[in-house]
Amino acid sequence: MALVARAGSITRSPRGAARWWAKVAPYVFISPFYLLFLAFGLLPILFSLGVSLFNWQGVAQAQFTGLSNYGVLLTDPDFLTALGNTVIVWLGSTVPMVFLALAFAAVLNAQRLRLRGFFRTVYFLPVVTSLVVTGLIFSVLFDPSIGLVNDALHAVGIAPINFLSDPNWMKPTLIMALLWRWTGNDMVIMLAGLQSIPGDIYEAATVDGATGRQAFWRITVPLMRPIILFDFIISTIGAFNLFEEPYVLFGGSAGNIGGTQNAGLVTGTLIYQNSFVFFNFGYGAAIAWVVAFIIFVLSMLQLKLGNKPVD
Amino acid sequence: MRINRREFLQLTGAAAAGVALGPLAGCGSSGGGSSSASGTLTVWGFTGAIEGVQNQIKAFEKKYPKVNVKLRLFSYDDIHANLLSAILSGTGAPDLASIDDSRLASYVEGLAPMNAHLSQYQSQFVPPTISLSSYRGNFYGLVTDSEPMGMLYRKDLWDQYGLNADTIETWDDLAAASAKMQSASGGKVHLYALNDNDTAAYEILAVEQGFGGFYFDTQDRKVIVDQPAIIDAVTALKRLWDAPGVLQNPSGGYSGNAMTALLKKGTIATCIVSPGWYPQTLVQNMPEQAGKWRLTRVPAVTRGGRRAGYQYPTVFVVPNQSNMKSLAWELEVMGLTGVGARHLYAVDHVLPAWAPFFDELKAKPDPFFGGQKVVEVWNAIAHDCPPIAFGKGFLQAQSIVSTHLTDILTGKVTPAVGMKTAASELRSKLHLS
Repeated sequence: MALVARAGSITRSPRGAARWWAKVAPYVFISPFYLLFLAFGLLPILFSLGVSLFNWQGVAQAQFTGLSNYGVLLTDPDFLTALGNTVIVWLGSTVPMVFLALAFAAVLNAQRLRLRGFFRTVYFLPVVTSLVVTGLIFSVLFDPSIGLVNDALHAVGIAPINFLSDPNWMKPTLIMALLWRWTGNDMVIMLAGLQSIPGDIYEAATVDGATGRQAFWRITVPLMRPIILFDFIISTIGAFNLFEEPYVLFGGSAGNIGGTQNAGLVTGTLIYQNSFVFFNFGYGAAIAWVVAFIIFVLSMLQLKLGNKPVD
Repeated sequence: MRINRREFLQLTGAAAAGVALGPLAGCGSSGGGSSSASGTLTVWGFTGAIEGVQNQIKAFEKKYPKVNVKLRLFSYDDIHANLLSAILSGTGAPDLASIDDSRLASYVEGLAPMNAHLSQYQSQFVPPTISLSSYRGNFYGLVTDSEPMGMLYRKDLWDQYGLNADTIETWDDLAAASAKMQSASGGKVHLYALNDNDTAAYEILAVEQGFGGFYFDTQDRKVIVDQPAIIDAVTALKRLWDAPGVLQNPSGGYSGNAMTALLKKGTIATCIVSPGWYPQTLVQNMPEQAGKWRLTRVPAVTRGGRRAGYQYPTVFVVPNQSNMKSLAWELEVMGLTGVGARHLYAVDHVLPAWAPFFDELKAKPDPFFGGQKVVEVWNAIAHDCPPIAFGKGFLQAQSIVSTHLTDILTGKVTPAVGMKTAASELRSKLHLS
């Protein structure tokens, strides 16, 4: 009996193996991503959650301190300053950036425009420009003594402004740098969205006598709402993780990463400073988790407000 | 400290050879390794500190023909981050690395103590440099330079406006002299400049009040920034800030380009924050002012009090991961004493830490300082400093105190309230008492 059963299994095995493989194959093919995500994404994320519950400085033995890092955070003036600065930079950059990106995309999507490819490349160029170059460009542009911007201001009788170290001007300078660097990126997203709107809708609108402006506000904007929402959420995440631009523009020294009176300190640079300058890993991880929670809440809020069905 | 047998043999062997060859140490030859030793010895360093060791690599390889020294240069920030990563990950650390002394405490659990060599080198290095490279009783390496803090001033401008450095004993005397300079020069010349967030002046005052840890006790167990003596010091700093004629907040701080330009222009007559490396900035940028500058001690908080400050040199350390600890130590000794130390000085002009060379320089008059024997003054300041030791949270403490100093100096809070708030923030963030 056992022999018969064994013989049967042998005769069935090629089909059985094929069926087994058919079931497993999709998982095998998608597994590289999950394995990599597990090793370099999920595990470090969970590890950082654990680290946030410890007092861990330098290479010393970590001590479990429970939620005390989170308790400290709520009254930490640096965290509150960084959060306030981040919100200002987020609102100051995201809203105009989305508006500008949509406007540029609409213009660059026009069939009548010549050299569309050239203009699209030019607008996208800052995104692929090295950050070191960007930092240099802005340092030279906004230098109080030799900067072009101050030269222009001087020509119209305005006293030089120390854009990179005057606390009143540091955030507007950062916002300008972000607009310059990232509007092209958002524009490409908008352009992809615009190209997915069927042309016959516009043709029908034209037949019905709609003007270009009416078509934009009544057709383009409503149909682009999911793309605009996506762009807002991506920009929000980007703003709360902002690091490179403020670091290059204001991070003069290790201990003073936020520049004058911490006016350029944002949550991204604060996390870096605590973790990799002060080597206070537990506290840095706690800040990172609170920032992640804020991003989650803001994203949910935006989804709730903006995710209505298009008529 | 727990060590295995190999480490024990390396340390005791090195110590025994060190004692035997001690008198030759100044000639760049110290014991530790065997000439039959072989392998690759990795050194990490940054420009401005590595030159002495770099200079001695050939001599070292000649002595140990089977040892290949691999030198990797990093930026200042990168070397600290990479060394930490290597120690935390348990692999990839070099055999010898240069780090800033103010960060030493963050690495000590991953470094090999060099206590066996301490007695040999204690007298060979200018005080308080040995304390700087020690932490809680363990000694971790030699430093490249001395960083006593003095006050540099333009004697010609002081003379022109009727000021005499010999009469300045306290910071209050200096504040009064600032007012005098302002009225005598019609506001054209400022006696000194100060930044409201610059902790360098605070750190001088902490040393003057006997706190060699600046923000913590020298055992790195207690926060000291709200001690009454510190509050007195910060109150003196506030008076210094409020004095008439002070140039407030030059861009870039005491060593920034704006400050250098103002000094060159003669708009500022005194650098009240001047570590041992700083005169080179003047020599390089304003050679036309040769003969006009002088060095004196910083004023005291109270009359008759200590007049000295100290900053942070670079220290060479040997990570625990190294399998060539005694050879690494020997290369360190070669680079930071004898020919190596002289080469470092010739290239970087930093004040040496190796006492025999420092003593040679003491007798030399410096033409930039009108023939003054400036190293003699630095020497006197260094000898007056208490033991200096930085804690694990040094950089974070510096940043926190900097923020609160701004509030204090700009009048938002009193020195007592500001420093108590800073202490409370420090204790909670660093989990200290």
